[in-house]
Amino acid sequence: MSDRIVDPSLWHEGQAKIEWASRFMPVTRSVAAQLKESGSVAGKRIALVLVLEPKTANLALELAAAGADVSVMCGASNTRDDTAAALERAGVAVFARSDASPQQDRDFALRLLDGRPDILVDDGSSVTRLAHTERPGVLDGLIGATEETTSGLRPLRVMERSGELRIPVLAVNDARCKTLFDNGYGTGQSTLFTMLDLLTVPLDRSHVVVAGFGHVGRGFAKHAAALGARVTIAEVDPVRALEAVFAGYAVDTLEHAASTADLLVSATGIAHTIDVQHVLALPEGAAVAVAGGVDQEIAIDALVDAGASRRSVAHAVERFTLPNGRSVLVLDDGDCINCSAGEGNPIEIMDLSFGVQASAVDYLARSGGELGNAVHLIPAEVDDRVARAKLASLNARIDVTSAAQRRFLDSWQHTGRRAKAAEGSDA
Amino acid sequence: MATADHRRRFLGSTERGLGALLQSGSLTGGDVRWTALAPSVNEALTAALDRLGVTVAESRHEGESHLATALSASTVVDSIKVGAWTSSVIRLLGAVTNLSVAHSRTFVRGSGPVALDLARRLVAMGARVVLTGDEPVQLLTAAQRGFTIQQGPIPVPAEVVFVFDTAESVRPLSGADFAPGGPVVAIDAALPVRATTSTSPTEASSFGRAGLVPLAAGAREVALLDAAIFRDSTFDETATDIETAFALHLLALATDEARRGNAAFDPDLIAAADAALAREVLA
Repeated sequence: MSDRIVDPSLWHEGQAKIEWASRFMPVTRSVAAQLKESGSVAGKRIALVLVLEPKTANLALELAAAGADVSVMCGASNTRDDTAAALERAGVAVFARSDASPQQDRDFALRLLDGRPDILVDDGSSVTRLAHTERPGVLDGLIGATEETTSGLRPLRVMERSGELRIPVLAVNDARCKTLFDNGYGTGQSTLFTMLDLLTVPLDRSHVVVAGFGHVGRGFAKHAAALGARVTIAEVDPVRALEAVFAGYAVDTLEHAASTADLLVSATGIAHTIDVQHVLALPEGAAVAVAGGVDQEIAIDALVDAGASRRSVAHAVERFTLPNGRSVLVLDDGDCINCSAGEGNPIEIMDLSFGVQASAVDYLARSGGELGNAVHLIPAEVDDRVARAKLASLNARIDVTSAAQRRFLDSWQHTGRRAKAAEGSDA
Repeated sequence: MATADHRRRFLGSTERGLGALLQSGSLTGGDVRWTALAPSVNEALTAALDRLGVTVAESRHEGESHLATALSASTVVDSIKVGAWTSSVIRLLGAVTNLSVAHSRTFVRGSGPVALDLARRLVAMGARVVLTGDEPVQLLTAAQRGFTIQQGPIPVPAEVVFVFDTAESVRPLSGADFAPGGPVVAIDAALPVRATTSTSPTEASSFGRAGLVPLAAGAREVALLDAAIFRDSTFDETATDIETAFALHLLALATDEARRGNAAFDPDLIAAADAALAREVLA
């Protein structure tokens, strides 16, 4: 029996969930069909390092159907064992157990790399970076990688600047069809709903404070307001803060806003966004959590070092008793709550992201190793391809630029203002 | 429960605000059972009065016997219960289906408070919502508020993914109401009777999703979600809290009236209790 998954007999339940997701994933299916027709990924070894749940399984299966040799790895906290079993049964090599220790997770990642993938699809860039430190030989055969997240791209760009990045990376996260919808809508819905599922309180009239007004922060704020919350945004970027003002939100410093928060959420993807002083400022009984995120985005270690004690009070809910005598609720250990305590982003949203991923894989496969060792933006045609596929599935029609409009756009002599004859003008 | 402290704080605030009045000695007597109330409210109200050291004679004040009627007439209680319910329904939909509210084509059947509150929240999340129903005046009011409405019995169009059935001024949904099209989730979103027990969805259906069961609808694949059955504790606990707080306000006002010699229950007390409760919630 394989040690790579928990229980192969769980496949039936996993398959039903995969089929449910498949009903709402027309974009991934459409793009993968194009890959199959072109043969671009046929025979390519593609390693997926993504949250292992039914939507990811659909991406894996569609790539496999397009002719790729697909393997999947996922850390324990983000692994659904029934999905892993269904994928394994379908012929995809899976390295993912929900009961894996951190050491086992690392071993799985190394075994995935030892399969010498041609293309690596990463989420958080942990395996891309691991390849650089522990399996540098694998990089020689790697056409490139794609990266799904904001927090994963940051270290890769640091590596690029320092000359340590040895492969081309496509910034899938930065594609419009990913960021605008996955970060902007999917994470907002899934993280907020998961938090409220854990807290079992309505949000009406609550004060929700969101650190960060990037795409995730906006999506979170939008959904919180829809459920009746008063929202305050904390930002370090003055332009984003101004955007928040124009969107109708209050803007304040995090520490000041925290003092009246019922729910304090970080949406920055930066460690120590919610630091000790912010938690200490919270009123008794407030909750604190992370939308998306990185380790120590809530400075839990520093909080404990400062004298806070913690105890579990419900599933994924801990009560921290603070040195100032107050107590607050920390959700899911400050983890990426929608994946670890929920089911990840909604299916149709991930369908867009995975449409971009499949297109990015296609782009890498076709690149013939011509791309430099850098973080590359996704070409605009990838976004167009994905958006058109989604619009087609919705029977939504769009216009095309007319010839007159194109002439105007291509001209430098006409500004669009009505031309006035020099003679006879009353100007 | 993780947030029990938060709830106790809320009720504690009501108790502190009303403690002096209720402890004025005008409420004395023997045992009392608020039999007309939901058991959880009965329990919470009795406990609150116990904490205040107050016992109440059921026969002493007519206001007590009017509690159940007053609760059903309270606009504050109704508003907060509807909000808690619609929020719970939308969250449940997300948890059970893992589908996106934003961009979804959505039907909300009905035109009463639950329908309007559902529609408002769904639109704010990015759903494209159509309100449908049989009651023209309510639909006109909804249209005036900017909602897209469709009057009369119309089949659920092919592109609609969610259908919320509120049972408010609309006949029950059936499989015959669906035009051919893609998969659709039909949510029974009628405000639940509190006596009904709820349970967490655990057993996966043929859809692979716990909580979704197939509904026969001809060529259309319809997954039915009964929100009342699978509701979490949010709605019930919120309803208990707000009803108990309202009851305390009403009792305090009735007590005050009785002390002034007005033993007969005055229906205006309901509005007064609503106003007092609203001020407290807003504070």
